[in-house]
Amino acid sequence: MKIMSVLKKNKSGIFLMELMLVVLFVLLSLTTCVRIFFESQELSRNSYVLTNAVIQAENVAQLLKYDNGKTDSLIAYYKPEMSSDNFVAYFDDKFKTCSDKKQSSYKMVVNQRLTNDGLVFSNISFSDIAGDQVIYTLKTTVYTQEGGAYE
Amino acid sequence: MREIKKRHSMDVFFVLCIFLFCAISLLGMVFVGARTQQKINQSTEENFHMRTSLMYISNKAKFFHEEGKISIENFEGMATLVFEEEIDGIKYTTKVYMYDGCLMELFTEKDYKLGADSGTIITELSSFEVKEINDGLIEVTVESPQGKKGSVLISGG
Repeated sequence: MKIMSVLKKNKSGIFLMELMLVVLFVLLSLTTCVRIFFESQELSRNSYVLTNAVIQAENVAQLLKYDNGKTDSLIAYYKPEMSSDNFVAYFDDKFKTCSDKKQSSYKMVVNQRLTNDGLVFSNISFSDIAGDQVIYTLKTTVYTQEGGAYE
Repeated sequence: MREIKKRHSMDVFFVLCIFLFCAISLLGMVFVGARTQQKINQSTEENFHMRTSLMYISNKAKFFHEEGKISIENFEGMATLVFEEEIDGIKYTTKVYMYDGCLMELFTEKDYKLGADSGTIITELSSFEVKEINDGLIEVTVESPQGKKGSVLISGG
């Protein structure tokens, strides 16, 4: 009788342990799955941002090519902020240009360097304002002598 | 006897609670997963249509980077981007336009007349606008079927 009661007690204990293990396993699986789902959503968002960053950078490159290295069309199209050696344009989260820096999510910085050989080196970088992380960089060179070629 | 019955019903209740917790958690996870998958699919499709059309036009423009090779024409009432080239002494044109909800490409000899439905489908779009901002600078704006807009600039030379 004593043995039977001991066995019965042990069965309950083992059953409880099994239940706890099942709950633990379910919780671990849930945590992993939810993390994967949110990471995949983040990846999809990053892909969209990169696509648009590439498009904007290539647009700037085309404007510089059109003006043979000068920035008149770039200024007319993007209306960027200008400082001594660079231009900064701001974009909202839908990649439309916005003049209000506080409402912007991304910025594009164009740095130019002119050489005596007639070459204009431009560095176009697109970055996230919140984390100041560079998303995409494009380097272009325009030869500004007569019959200039775009590279 | 009553005590034994109470303990037994408590055990069953506890087990049922754990089962309910597992069931609700799994259902919740399936729901979150389905929503996430739906959002990702939607975003991928938007990205695909817009990116494909803009990158196609941008790469085409880079290939025809010489002056005078890119122009805007009216083709069957539609604003059309025209790329001109010469192969073995014969002039050819590549027309890019929107027809029947799709971005189309039509490659023919320059003076050969073919209808808009003869083109090759590139991707689906809901709108395609071509505008000359300055002499030789063209802005192409596309809108995906999901409503996302994007623009690409083409410098003719």
